[in-house]
Amino acid sequence: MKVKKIIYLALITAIGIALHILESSIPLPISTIPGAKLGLANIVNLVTLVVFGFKQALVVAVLRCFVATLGTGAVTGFFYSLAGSLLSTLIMWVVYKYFSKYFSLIGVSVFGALAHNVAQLTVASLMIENYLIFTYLPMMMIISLFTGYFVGLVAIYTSSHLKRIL
Amino acid sequence: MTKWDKILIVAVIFFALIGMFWIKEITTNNEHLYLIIEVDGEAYKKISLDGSDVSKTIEINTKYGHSVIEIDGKGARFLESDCKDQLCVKMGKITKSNQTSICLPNRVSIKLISEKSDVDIVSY
Repeated sequence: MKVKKIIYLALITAIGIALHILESSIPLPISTIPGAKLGLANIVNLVTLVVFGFKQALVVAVLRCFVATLGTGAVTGFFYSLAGSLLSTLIMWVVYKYFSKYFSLIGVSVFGALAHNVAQLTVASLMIENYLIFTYLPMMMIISLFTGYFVGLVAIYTSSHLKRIL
Repeated sequence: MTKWDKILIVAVIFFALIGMFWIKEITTNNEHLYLIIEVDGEAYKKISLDGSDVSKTIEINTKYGHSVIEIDGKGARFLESDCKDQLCVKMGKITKSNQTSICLPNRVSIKLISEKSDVDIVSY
């Protein structure tokens, strides 16, 4: 069982890396917000969280950020994605564990997307030492509603199938 | 989708809209505008704009020429000028902070500045 679990985690990390690299080549038709993206890799975080647990999700998130940075070569983007995925995994775990009778996975993933935005903007404002970057937040919140809904929907279908396999 | 999901989505939209309006307020920063009239590079008059619709005109006669500036509570413009190209009149009204309108032949410039301009520049 343990080996099976490790293999599944490795596979899911690989999928996360692939999605991370893939989504960096998908342009969004919203040019007013640079940095808006689909958050496909968040599907992997959420599914791991639901199927395996919090620790495994953290490991997958960190590994994905490391390897995807090696793949895309965006070193400055590493801190953004690492902070974003760590905080969003944490928030999603809290919401999923304690409030899952209120929120479905869609709500959990919207919370995760919001946390991702906040973490990324915090890192960005620390990096360029300008808190005005937070003026992006409301626009990103609107966009993260759509991407969060989509991610949650995908996670619902994926995790229900994965749970049956495991 | 549970009931709480919908509540969450509505709440996020609500806060995002509030945030957008608030950010628009602080970035344009159009409160406490001052109009500064400069003649030949030296400050001639500083006028506080109060936001009302009452307009008044100021005539400036220098050795370079004659200009009439119209000021109301929200902005200012060159109403008349005896310069040849009339660029300052065509420039129209300035209403936002750090906007300027200049009549070069008469060496008169009008400029709006904001009192609490803690922001140098906002770039996107």
